[in-house]
Amino acid sequence: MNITDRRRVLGPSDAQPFSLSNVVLADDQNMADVAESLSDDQIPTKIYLKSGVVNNASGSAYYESGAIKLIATVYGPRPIRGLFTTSAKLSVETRILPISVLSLSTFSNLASTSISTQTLSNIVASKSSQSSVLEKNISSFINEAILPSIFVDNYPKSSIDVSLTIISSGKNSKSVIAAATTATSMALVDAGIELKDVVTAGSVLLSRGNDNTTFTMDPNVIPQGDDVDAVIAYTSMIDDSITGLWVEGNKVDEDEMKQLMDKTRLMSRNLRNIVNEMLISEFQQKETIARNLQVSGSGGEKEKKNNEDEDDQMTE
Amino acid sequence: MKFSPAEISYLRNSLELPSPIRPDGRSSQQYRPLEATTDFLPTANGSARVRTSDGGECIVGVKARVVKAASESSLINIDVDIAGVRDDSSAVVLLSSTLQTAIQASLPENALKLTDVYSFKLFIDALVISQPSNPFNITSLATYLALKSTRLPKLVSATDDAEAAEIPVFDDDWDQSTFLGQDETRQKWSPPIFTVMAVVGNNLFVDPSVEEEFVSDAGILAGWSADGKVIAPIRIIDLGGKRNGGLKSTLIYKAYSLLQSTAPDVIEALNAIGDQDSLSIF
Amino acid sequence: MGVISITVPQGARAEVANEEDLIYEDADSDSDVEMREFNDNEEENIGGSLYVANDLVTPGELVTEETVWMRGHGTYTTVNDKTYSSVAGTITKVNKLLSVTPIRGRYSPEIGDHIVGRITEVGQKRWKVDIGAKQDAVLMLGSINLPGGILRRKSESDELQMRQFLKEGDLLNAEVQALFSDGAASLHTRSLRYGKLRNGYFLSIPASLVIRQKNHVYRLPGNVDLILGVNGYVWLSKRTSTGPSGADNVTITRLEEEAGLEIYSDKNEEIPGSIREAIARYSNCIRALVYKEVGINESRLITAYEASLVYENAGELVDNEVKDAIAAEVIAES
Repeated sequence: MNITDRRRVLGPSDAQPFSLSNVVLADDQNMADVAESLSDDQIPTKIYLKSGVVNNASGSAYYESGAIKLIATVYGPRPIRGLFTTSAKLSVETRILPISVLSLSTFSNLASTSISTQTLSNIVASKSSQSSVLEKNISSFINEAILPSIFVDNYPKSSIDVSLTIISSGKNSKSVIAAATTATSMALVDAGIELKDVVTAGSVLLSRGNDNTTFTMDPNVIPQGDDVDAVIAYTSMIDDSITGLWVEGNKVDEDEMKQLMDKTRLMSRNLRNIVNEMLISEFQQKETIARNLQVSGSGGEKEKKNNEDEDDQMTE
Repeated sequence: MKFSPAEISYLRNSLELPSPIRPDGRSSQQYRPLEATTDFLPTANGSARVRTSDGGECIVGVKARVVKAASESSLINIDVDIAGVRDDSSAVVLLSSTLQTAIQASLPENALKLTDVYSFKLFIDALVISQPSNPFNITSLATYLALKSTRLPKLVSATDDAEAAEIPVFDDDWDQSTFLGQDETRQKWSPPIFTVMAVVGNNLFVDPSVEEEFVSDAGILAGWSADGKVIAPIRIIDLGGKRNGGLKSTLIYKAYSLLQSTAPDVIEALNAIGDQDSLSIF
Repeated sequence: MGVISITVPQGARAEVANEEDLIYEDADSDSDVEMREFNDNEEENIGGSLYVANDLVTPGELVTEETVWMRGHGTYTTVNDKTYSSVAGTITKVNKLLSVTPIRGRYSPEIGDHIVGRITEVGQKRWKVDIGAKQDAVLMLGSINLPGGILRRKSESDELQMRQFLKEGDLLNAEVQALFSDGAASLHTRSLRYGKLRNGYFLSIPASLVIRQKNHVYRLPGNVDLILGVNGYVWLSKRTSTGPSGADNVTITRLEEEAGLEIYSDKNEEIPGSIREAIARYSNCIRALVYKEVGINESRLITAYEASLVYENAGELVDNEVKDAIAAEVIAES
């Protein structure tokens, strides 16, 4: 009889211990390429969106654009214990992975220099309080921006939990937040939660030159001096109304505010179009699979695999 | 706090009217009366206490410490404590991070500079003892008053110590101290003030009460600099209302005009309190 | 009108009083609050003498050493059979019952009290109601008027749809029907005077400032009805024919028609701006009287309202100086 140690959870026989020396950071050269491909007044030209990436969640979405890579997962609506409530409660948790540039850039711009694995493991071990403040602020922004779009009254006595993982990012936190807002909306759609509109957001950096102000959407440019950094979320399909707004900088006059709103409104409209295309094409693919399954019975299995491969297309 | 549907619709309808009627009859730009004292903590460089008529109270103390400027990431450190609320709750984080970034950004470079090496670092501790409605207004007003009443001792040693290291020495006479931001040798400075306005329909209200917050669509958080200009962080925040849909962009412009029309009065009233108190000391 | 008023609190800068001022009055002074030494030779009065000349006592203060008194709320006794006060408050004597009513403290319900309450919990055949007392009151499903009139019998389906009548957060006015042994109240709304509240505004004041009266529903000038709950919960509303003050006119035959499902409606009627303004003004008048700790009844409130009309805008009444002026006028009148 084969005697094994049942008290221990043993890994597979060919397992290798995790070592941080295997982690390769994206070097600055690559990021610069992405930045160059952006024209000044546009959102990044290429966005990769996919919903349903996490199997055991109610809904999920993956967002990638340039340096920004993040996953939003939605759990719920699920019942809550305790007191009776007439509407659903939304809660958002954000995690910025220690290897993302955003997390590193809070450490006196370590990201721009090459990092020894020693420093990296130090960072992994002790997460800065600064980055956790950022996580909290991102969570509350997403919560405030998304909540108005959900028909919370349709889900009494329940909670909707969103968990956001920022895998990689540029140095600008506002551009990540804009992406995260869009991804969270996508995940809610994927979870089948009733929405008034899909909230999308745009971010922009306003720099005051000597006699002209310029606007940048580059996720790698951080505000300097008197620059104004903004992320604004909209329900662009129904009424272009603002659900979330976060402007940072020092003085912002009314005219600058108007320009910030105009730029971000345009961005979130564009983004909204992309999201629509994406959702419809995903739905059509699913429909095709279902039809094939009905027609060919067992043969559908193979078909599904093929279709999934096609899923990974870039939406441009 | 819970409200019945009939109460909520009564409050909302009153506040949504073209000429809104607030539950206590205030105009949309009228604050509730406040009581304030400054400089009441003898062991702090500056302090202030603000009380609201609905039982809210906030105490702020400012302490200055001499540090080596190069080794500090920031010369301002704000710690906010709201009684009965966890320190890592989003309300506390929002409050402290907003005040931290805004005060830091408004501070002129040499406002706290002592010598080439040394500088003052301000530790601002805000304690919200009780606050039924949103703690932003009261904490920001108390922080403003505390910073305005902050006095820094007079430096008597040399300011040029880049070459030869020298520990700063201060004048023992407290009467020789100068108010923060009022020193002739440094750039003048006044701290920013932040306020939360409640949005109901197409109307905006300053200093919302608990019930007004509960029926609000959202809150708009924004600040003024000392000269009455609107400053960031500007945010839409949750005041505990229903959040039915977003806000029209016209409301943001309305917030601007409301801020600009109330700013001079609020700053004047606050400065009057500071002057009154500093007179009574001497 | 000003945007903001900030004042230095009164007494905030008060110097610490001279030590002489702080010395409590000597035992041989003729103070009212003097505590007398126990005296064996003192003659017994019929009905028992009280040790305190003043009605105000503090916890632990000897109220009487006579044993003829029945000891009520707010008193305690030790082995020596003397009566001491256990709260800070005023002494009340009803026949042989001696009790001390606390100046501050939560509302303690009494049978027959007209109160305003808020539902906190929906349970098995009963609601829990917050009435500002130590414990939530209980409202049984059988103690309310069901839609469909008096002849309607309650059925199992009523138990399942209790939230259609009253749910968490709803306000109602009711009468204290009975008290449980632990002091919790049992309420009923079996009269058209009572029931769910709508068309108005709620505010809460200390119960000790409500002057107990036969009637707690007032018709106020300006088409406003007021329910001044004995428990300190106040409801200001638009006057309607079916509202609290109109209910007395309803005959028993009409009761059936009146008790339709709309008695549990959440929808307000059309309320004109003038009434909303009057309600705001009344609530500010009540707050002004509370600010100066003036007991509230119908005539005082009307006096305060009339005095407040000098101030064109009800918002001016939030100022402490204006509150002082209004309360002073009320005290002068009564």
